Amino acid sequence: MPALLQVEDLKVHFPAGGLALPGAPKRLVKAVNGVSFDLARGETLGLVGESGCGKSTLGRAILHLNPITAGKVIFDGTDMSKGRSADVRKLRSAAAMIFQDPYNSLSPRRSIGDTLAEVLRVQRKIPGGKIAERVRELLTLVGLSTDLINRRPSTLSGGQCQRIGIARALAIDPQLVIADECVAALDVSIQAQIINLLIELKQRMNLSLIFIAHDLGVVRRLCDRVAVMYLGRIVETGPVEQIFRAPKHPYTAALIRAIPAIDPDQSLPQQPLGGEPPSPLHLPQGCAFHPRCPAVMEQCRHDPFPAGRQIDGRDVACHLYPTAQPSFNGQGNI
Amino acid sequence: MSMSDTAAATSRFNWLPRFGRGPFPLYAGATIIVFWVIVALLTPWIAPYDPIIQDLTQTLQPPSLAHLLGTDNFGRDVLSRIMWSSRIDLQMGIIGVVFPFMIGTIVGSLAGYFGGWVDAVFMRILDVVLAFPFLVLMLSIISILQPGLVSFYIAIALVGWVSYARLIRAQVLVLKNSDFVIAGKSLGFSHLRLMFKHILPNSITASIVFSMSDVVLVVLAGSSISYLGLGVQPPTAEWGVMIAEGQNFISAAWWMTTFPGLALVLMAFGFSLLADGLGEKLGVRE
Repeated sequence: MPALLQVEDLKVHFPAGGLALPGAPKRLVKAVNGVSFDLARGETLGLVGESGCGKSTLGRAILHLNPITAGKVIFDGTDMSKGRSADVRKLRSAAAMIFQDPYNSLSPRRSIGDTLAEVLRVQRKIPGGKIAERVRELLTLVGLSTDLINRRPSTLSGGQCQRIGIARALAIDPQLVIADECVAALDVSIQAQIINLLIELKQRMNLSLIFIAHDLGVVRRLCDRVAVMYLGRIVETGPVEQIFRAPKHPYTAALIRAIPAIDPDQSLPQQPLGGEPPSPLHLPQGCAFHPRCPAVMEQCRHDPFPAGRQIDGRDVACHLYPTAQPSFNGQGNI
Repeated sequence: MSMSDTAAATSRFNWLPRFGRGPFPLYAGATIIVFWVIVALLTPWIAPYDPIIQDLTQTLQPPSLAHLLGTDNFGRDVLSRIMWSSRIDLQMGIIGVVFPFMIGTIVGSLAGYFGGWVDAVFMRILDVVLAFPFLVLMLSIISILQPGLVSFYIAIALVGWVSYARLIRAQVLVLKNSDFVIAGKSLGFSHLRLMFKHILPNSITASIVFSMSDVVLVVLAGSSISYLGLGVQPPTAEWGVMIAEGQNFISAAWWMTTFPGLALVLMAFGFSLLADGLGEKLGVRE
């Protein structure tokens, strides 16, 4: 089965503010700097990384909400990066987004019934007479009482608003949903409810889900596969359990070591990752991770960014491992 | 101001009828405006004299029972003229705000939402308008057209939109990157729908509040321009015209200028209070 979504060498660069001398090269923020991955139908991909590593920008670029600098986003066989309006319209009716801030993602002056009905009216997937019925159906689907239909977002709790955000995404009957940090702003108990709701919905509707998060525990619970991003590039992708049990890339290893344990007797990790990620305005030469890498080698500083190597059923971009040999390829189809 | 002062200030208004919960200035301002609207509507029936017909036997009479606010140099009743003026000044305030409001809202929305060259073009036009002093620009536009009320409305529409455009643009710039607008975009909403059904309802409150204080400025501008002889033409009654006419008689007949002046101040005061109260009620502080 062909993948629902193929991202090929995607780049999103923004011009940086501030004065540039005439003739000097334009300063660019390289938020996404050559990302490739596939997403199968019904698959859930977790996208993790530190703040500012380009996760959200990548999500928005896939949905054609940010301009794409280079590369391809092929959704359901159509290349979206050309930006033809008919293609974009098709994307808009098949892919939706769930946001981090549950309040800010809903129009404050509209009742939630209105918010949902508007999506149905704009998309014209169901006849006008059935819209009211479908709105009630959607509310039930995300576990909300239909009594809330006339309430404004400001009178609801964060969890309820996030359910509305999910219902709005589901209103278009999507094939792909991108959830951008959609539980980060919620209480832990509500987080669990929303995660369970997402698990239930993706199974019932065969959704493809890209789950952007920095909470690795949540990703482990929800996702089939995980992609770890660092400064605009994916450094490691693979099945979620394999990566959590035995991370290969030093950055992934550091991230996973940094997950705090509930057990108070277990001490915090010995060597948390030092320093801040470098500014995406001045990416370091070579591997972008080398200034913080515990296993840094001479070639990391000079050689171009390491190409992906396939090891143990996953893709790792690190000089520590030998480049792909035919013998490694047998199991490495990701 | 200490706590007890504030408490005393609130308790001083306890005798006033309560119109539900809300800031005091809102209701005080609304009461004054409603008073002027009623006066304006009922003037043809309740004004004691004709505002234009001259009675040269009754010139420059001081306030008396027959002429409550006196008469002017042509023997016309000042009270009647003030009442007829309220119709023109209210109309001036409303028309002089509605058109700039609409133009400014549309320009500000387009400039803020689309950005890029659309924004650049509109903002440079705005800079040009702002570069001239307000009254000078008004006067030159009116004198290019011809003196009169219609020219005044055209001039105020051409000059007044800039404040609204700037207010709306600033709000749109913030809101267009908010999650609910991006959500709408990702769900296939058109630009028009996003601009006018999602962004505008959330960005317009500051402009509504500003429009109330703008009414004051417009009425004052209208009166100033009538005073300079380019707005409402005599013998039509208008507060600015009346003040200008009475100016020559200020030492002999103080009532000719004082009462139209007080009327103007009262109306301006009403709109100011309304703006203040609305700002408090809608949670906008300028």
